[in-house]
Formats: sequence, structure tokens, C-alpha cells
Amino acid sequence: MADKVFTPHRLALQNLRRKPYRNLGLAALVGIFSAVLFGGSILNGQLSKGLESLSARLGADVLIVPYGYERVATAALLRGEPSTYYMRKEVLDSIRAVPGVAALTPQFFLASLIDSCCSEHVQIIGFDPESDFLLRPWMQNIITRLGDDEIVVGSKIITSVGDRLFFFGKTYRVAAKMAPTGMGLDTSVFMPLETLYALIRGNPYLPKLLENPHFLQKLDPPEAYISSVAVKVDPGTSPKAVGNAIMLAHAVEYNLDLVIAENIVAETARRLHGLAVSVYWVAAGIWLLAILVISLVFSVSASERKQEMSLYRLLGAQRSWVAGLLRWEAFSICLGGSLAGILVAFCVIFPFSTLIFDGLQLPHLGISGGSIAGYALLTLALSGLSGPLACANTVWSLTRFDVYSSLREAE
Amino acid sequence: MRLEAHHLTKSYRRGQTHFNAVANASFSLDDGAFVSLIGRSGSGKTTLLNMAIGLLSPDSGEILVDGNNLFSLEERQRSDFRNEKIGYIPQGRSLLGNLTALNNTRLPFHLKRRSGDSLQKARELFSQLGISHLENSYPMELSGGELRRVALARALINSPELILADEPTSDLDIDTAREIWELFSRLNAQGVAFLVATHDVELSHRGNAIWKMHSGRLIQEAG
Repeated sequence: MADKVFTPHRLALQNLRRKPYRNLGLAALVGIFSAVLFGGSILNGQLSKGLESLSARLGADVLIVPYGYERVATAALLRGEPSTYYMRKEVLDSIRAVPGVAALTPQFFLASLIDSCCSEHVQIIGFDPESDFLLRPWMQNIITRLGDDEIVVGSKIITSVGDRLFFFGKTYRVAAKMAPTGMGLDTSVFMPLETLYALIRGNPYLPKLLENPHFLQKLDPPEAYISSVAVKVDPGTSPKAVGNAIMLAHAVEYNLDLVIAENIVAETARRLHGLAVSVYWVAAGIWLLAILVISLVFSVSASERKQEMSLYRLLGAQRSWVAGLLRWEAFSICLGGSLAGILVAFCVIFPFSTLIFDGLQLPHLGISGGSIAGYALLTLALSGLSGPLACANTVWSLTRFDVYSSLREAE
Repeated sequence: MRLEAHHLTKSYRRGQTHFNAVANASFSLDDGAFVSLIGRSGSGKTTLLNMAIGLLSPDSGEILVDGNNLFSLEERQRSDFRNEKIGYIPQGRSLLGNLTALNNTRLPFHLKRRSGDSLQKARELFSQLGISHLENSYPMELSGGELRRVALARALINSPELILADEPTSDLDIDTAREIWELFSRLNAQGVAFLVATHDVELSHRGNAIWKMHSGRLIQEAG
């Protein structure tokens, strides 16, 4: 047997083994708190980063879409939900003429069915390489150099540069992979408008493979149609005012609807804030509950441990030593529970993050290892603190009772 | 070490009436003493012992340790005094159930920072007390006599100058009780002072002095 010193820490661990089920129960409670706080913080961090990216890099101030597709367009932009809607291309010239419009660029959306490259629907986005400002921040100069059979893929499409992907009977070379955006663009495939029109023209597979083949009948010829127009307004001009002016002038003629980009950001921020507040309220609730339950359990056990504490004091232990022993017991429960909770949250969040964010339907971006470590440390600190807090009352009572009387009671 | 008590009084309230558990008790204990403190249950023996180790403060009177008033010391210093100078064997089962016999014995050694090997010392004591085979046993596995021997080993771990034992043989058979007193005598011969509270009059004669407690009053007589 090694000569291990009886520090309060060691003795606390030995004491905890006496009631393993009770202590495991308490640790599990702290574990739930830690999992909620750590997991919630990680999710919140990823969503906040997605929001930052959204507001910093959403190139358009206004998005013009066919009437009734405002929500669908937002979902396509934020979450890459495959969607198919079209309007006539001549709307571009009409919008360009509206005062306050600084620049505009068209997009054409084509939703694929499940493709061999992807595990789910893919949104194919056609863009105009000359006028584009929506995708350029993530693509740098690649978009102007794309060949007829070349495409760019979003960061979450599982493929590598140089690979060949198959869409509707045609093969395309992956020329580049976009930087993560945290938005729906990450799960989309991009090609120049002309390449996309060429894909659609006379394609024998499209009627069988398209989710909504009836659209095809309208697209004749396809190059006469687009899905949306991203508009940049003049500096100092209100996007809302320009959007309203476009609507006023052309909504009826072209059957248009509009999406104000800052509204998307504001709406996303509002949902994110709501989610963060909910997570932290739940975490705070569980934290208080954990402190309360641990405190209660320690208080209840205080009377049965009076003789034990009396013995320590009788043998010459100082009050601070006895207090340290109790604090270590509570701290060890909380630390163990917290570590387990963090581990569980880690194991749940990272492998299932795609599923979770799909459920949340909010833009998100990965956060750094440093941030994850920071959240883990914060969670550990709060959990660790809950131990001494929970046993404060018991420490106070068990270090101030009459040792002599409690020994007599035990006899 | 010289332990002196002057005019110690401690009273309690029982229902509507006050009674003196210890009334005006004075004594002195010198190195090497072996005193038996006898008296009926409730006569004040335990109260006196607990005041003597600074665990229970008297209503009046004082305890002097080498001339210093024990109750003028800070609580921390009184804990150190108990840990360093006194070995205490409380009444009844006094071992911690989750520690082995050996670790129960080592515990007081580690309640203060000190150098040395508690393991070796505990093993020496176990050997001396004839309980080496009980090292890894837990208290619930021990008989009454074995528990007392382990408690004695624990009381001796910090090489105290005085051991106070409160009814150390009260629930033991006569042979085991004699063996425990034999151990006390042997250790006393090695220089450890003893103050042993008992109501066993026969065994009390093994000490070199007998003090009697009667209704809180301390009466000293030669052994």
C-alpha cells in the first residue's frame, strides 16, 4: 500500500464511494446542466458566427422574386432549401431603371433530385459572371474563369476540386469549392447562367428528374427566365424605399415580391436571440435546481454525519479542514458530473450538428477550438462553483455544532 | 506535559432544572501518570475529559497546559493541541467506516502538515498491539476488542504525551477488557500518561491513582 497522504481531497473521494448511487444522481444533475450550458453555448456560438457572416457578406440589399416566393427565397438563401420559381428576364431592365438601384444581378434556381454526389436535394444556382456580386465574396475571381463544363460547389458538398459531378445526364468538373458561408449557399452548386440554360435546353432527363416538371413547360426558351434579382442600392439610400419603388413600378406587371436583406438579418438575429435566451434560461434553471438538490441532500446527510465530523475535530482537525473536506466532496460531484455532461454534449453536437442545424433552420458556421475550450472552461467553472455554493450551509452548520454533544448523542 | 484543571464547573439544563455535570473540579496530571477516573454513568466523567482536551468550554475555572490557559488559545491552536499532545479514545465505536483499520490509524497524522511516514508508524503500532492481521479490515469486520486496539493505535500515531480514554472497555468481555488495560499499563511503562474513565472498579486499580466522580464532584485518592 502506497503512503498516500490523507488530504481532504482524497478523503472526500473515499467518502463519496460510500453512497455511489446518490452521488451519481447528483453528478448526473450537474451533468445535465453542463450539457445544456456547453452544448447550448456551442450552438449559440456557431449560430452567432453564421449571423455575423450573413450580415457581413450578404451582398444584396434587396432580393426581387416572383410573387408569393418571398419565404421560399429566404429559405433558399438561408438554408439552401431546393426551390424552383421563375419570372421573365426582361424584368432586369425594368428594375435597373428604378432610381436608387446601383447594381443588380440575376440568379436562376434549379432543384435537383437526390444526386450521386449528395445525400440530399441540391440547389443548382445559375449566376451571371459579369454582374454577380452575391457570390463573388466567397468565390474571388474564379467565377469569371469558369468553362462551359465547370461548376463551383458549396463548402458542404462532399466532393473535391477536379472531381466530376453528374447532373441531369451531363458531367461537370468541380473547378472550385466555396468558402463556408453559414448560409444555404454551402449546400448549393453554382454554374454560369449560360451553362445552366444549356443544361436545360432539350434535356431529355429533366422532365423525369425535376421535382416540379410542370415548370419546364413555361421555360421556353429557358434563357428568357430567371428566378431572382439581387439588387444593390445606392449608398445612403434606404433599401426599403428602393424595394418599394420597384414594387410600385413593376409588381403588378411582372408579378413580383421582394425580400429586404436587413430584414432577413434582423429576423435571424431575433430568432437567434430567442434561442440563446431559452438555452441560457434552461441552463440557469437546471443550475439552480442542481444547487438546490445538492444543498438539500447535503443538509439531510449533515445530521447523520455529525458524529463523523465530531471525530475529525476530536482527532485535531481544524474547522477549515472539515470544511475543506465537505467542499471537496461537493466539488468532486460537480466536477465529475460536469466533465461527463461536456463529453456527452460534445459527442451529441458534433456528429449530429447538420441534423441539429437543419432543425433550427438558422445559418451557422463552425467555431474555433479555442472558443470550444473557452465554453468548456466556463461550464466547468460554473459547475465547480455550484459545489461549494450548494454545501455552504452544511459546511457552516457542520463546522460550528457542539462536538461534545454530538458525540454524546451518538453513544 | 503538565495538565492542570482549576475549579472547573459545567452545568446543564434538564427540563426546568439546572444541574452541575462537573462541579468545582481541580486536578493535575504529570508525565507518566496513570489515573483511573471512576464513577457511575452520568457522574460527569466524559464532561470532565472533554473539557480537559479543550473540546468543551467550562462555565468557570480553567485548564492549564504547561501553565498556559487552554481556553485562551484560538480554536485552531486548541485543535493543534489535541492533534499533537493528546491521544483520545472516545466511548463506543469511533472508527470511520469507510477507512481500513490502518487508514483509520493514520488519519490523525495527516490532519496537520508533518513529515514522516505514517504508514510505517501505523504498521509498527499494529505490530506492537498485536493486530497486524487487521491492517486491511474495515471497522464493521472487527470485534469490540479489535476496535479498541485500533482506536488505541490511532490515539498513539502522533506519539502523544497523554492518552485520555473514555470507557474503553465498557462493552468488552472481561478477558478482552483486561488485555486492553494490560496494553495501557505497558504503554504507560514506556512513558505515556493515561487518564482512563471507567466504571469498572476492579480494573481501575491497575492505574497508579484513582479519581472518583460523584454527581459532578471529583474526589482524588491514591491508587
